[in-house]
Amino acid sequence: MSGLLRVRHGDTLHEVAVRAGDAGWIVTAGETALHLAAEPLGAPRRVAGATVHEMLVTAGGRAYRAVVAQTRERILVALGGHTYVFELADERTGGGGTAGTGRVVAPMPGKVIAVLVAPGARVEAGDPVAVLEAMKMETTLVAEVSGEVAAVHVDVGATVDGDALLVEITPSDAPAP
Amino acid sequence: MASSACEFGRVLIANRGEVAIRIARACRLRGLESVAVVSDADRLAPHAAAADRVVSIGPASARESYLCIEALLGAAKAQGAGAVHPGYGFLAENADFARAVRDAGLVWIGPPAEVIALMGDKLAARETARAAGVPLLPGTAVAEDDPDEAHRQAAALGYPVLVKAAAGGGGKGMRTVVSESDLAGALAAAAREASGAFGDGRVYLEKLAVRPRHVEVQILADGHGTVLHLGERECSIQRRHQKIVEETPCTAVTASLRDAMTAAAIGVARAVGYVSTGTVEFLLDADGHFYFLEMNTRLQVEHPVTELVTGLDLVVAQLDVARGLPLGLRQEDVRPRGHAIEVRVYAEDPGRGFLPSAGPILALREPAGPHVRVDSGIAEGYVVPVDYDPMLSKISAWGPARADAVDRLREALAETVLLGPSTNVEFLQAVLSHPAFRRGETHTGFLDDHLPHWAPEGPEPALALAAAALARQAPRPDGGSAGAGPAHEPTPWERLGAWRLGG
Repeated sequence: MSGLLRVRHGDTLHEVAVRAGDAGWIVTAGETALHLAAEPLGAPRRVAGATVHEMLVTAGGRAYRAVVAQTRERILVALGGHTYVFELADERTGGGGTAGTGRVVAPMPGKVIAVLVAPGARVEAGDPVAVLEAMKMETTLVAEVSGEVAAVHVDVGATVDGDALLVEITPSDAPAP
Repeated sequence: MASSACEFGRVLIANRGEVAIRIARACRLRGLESVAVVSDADRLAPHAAAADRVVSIGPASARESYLCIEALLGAAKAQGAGAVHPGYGFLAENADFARAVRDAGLVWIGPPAEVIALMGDKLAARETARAAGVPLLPGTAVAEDDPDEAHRQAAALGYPVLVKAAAGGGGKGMRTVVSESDLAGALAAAAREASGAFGDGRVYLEKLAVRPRHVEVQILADGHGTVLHLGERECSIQRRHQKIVEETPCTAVTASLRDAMTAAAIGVARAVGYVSTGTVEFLLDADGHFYFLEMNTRLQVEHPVTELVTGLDLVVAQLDVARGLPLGLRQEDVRPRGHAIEVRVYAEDPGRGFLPSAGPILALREPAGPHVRVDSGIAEGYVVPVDYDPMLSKISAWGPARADAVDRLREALAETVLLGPSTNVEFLQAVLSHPAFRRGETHTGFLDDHLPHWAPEGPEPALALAAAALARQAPRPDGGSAGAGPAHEPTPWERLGAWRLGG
């Protein structure tokens, strides 16, 4: 099990196993087994808290230069003209997993320039609840569920971090507490 | 005026990012020293090291740094700068800043403050264009405290209408309103955004042209009466009213239309006594009618495409003009050649409504190759701040024909490695690859029409997953390994000796 990696790519969970083959590596992801060779290009380096490896991956007669950056939550890979973002499945903390919940979080650091609801207010899914200014643009945050505003955690003018909880909504179809 | 002797040896660059680096390069070419300014968020930014000197001007907040006239003038004085180049954005079109620079006895590298003030008031600019005989879209000022009047005005223009900031630019304070019920909210939001961005919340209404092209004419004028045009650029591909793809020439502009548009642009420039670089923006409708939009009284973000086809250096020309030198060029000396396209690389997520992104750049490889130009403001390890516009760099390509330029630019984007914040690099590739774009069928609604629900779809991620799994098990610089198995079970990476040697 030493080579098992569990990551999410979009909505898909991938389990990737690596083992040594005769002339390189055998990488198994789901049903497919890939035979490939990989050579490191230079030493790995630390960049802003992440670890960056570069390697030459050869598969099917073609060589690709791959750049892999690992952070605590994600592995970013640039390969063949594309950038892939893999979220580490085992270390997911729930940030970004708020779809369809009553938690309205800041998608990125910014400044709250409007709070459009108050505790007790009734909101429908899609209703704007707050306006965040980040990088000189206004972003309107909407309720993802219909329900009642249970709490507002920020004031206008507040500077918030990414993933900060701004507003909590008790979904109307939620069981009574 | 600009024709009087105004020598200077040191230029304060009142901006950041790629344009600050661009200006520092031009200064060096002219033997001028340059002074970079940095906010606390930009202390380690690449532009800090691009100039001959660097000075801190304040906290991260733009209002207290790049938008703070006193801080910038103080820096100019302290550093002995004789001139100020404002770049684009921030205070580039702020007449008060231009005036303050002049009053401090420094040279403003740009048009006179009075011209900035006149054209910066979009309503006054419309009147100037009207007087110069240039066609306008129907539009009207909005009475600030009379919402009923605004509703009557919008109804008279006919929906859809555009709410625009009188002091606007860069898409800030702009809202499209398709029906009456959205008008009040749009007016309030536009006024709030305009007030925040420009300190002036006045807005006006303009009839929204449907599927027009955005075509602009580059003006270059000196203080000796020479006013030249450097051809047109098409910048129709926009999201949030901000351009992301720009090219020259425009596929829809015929020779006779070019004559008419450039003559109109020169007419506007002459009418206001224009000096330095400027851009007259038009909308071009499907029938080949064009309408004055506004004049940008500064260097334009997309100036590289004009440089690629004309061979001119617009920033060097700005420096020369500011020193009172004649351009030494006639209109017939400007002979554009081939086709050039630029894309703007933004830290944003096109799959999530172009939501801005920020954070450290973990890996960066910028493209190269024949006829590829990169104007970049980032570096590996640089932390993209949340405080400013999320443009990271611009990539441009030239080709003898449009298709060559498109292909080259697409290749350049595919070569680009940028790990860290989300970027629009793959989205830009999708734009350049789209059949309608390749046919030149572009208009300001292009992205909504053709790529409304774009999501990144690379090939199957199998190889990338393999690379991730291998890297996961490789030793780290600190000697650890996130995915190392039990000690008795050697990890596959131990067969790759170089990792051990390197790590």
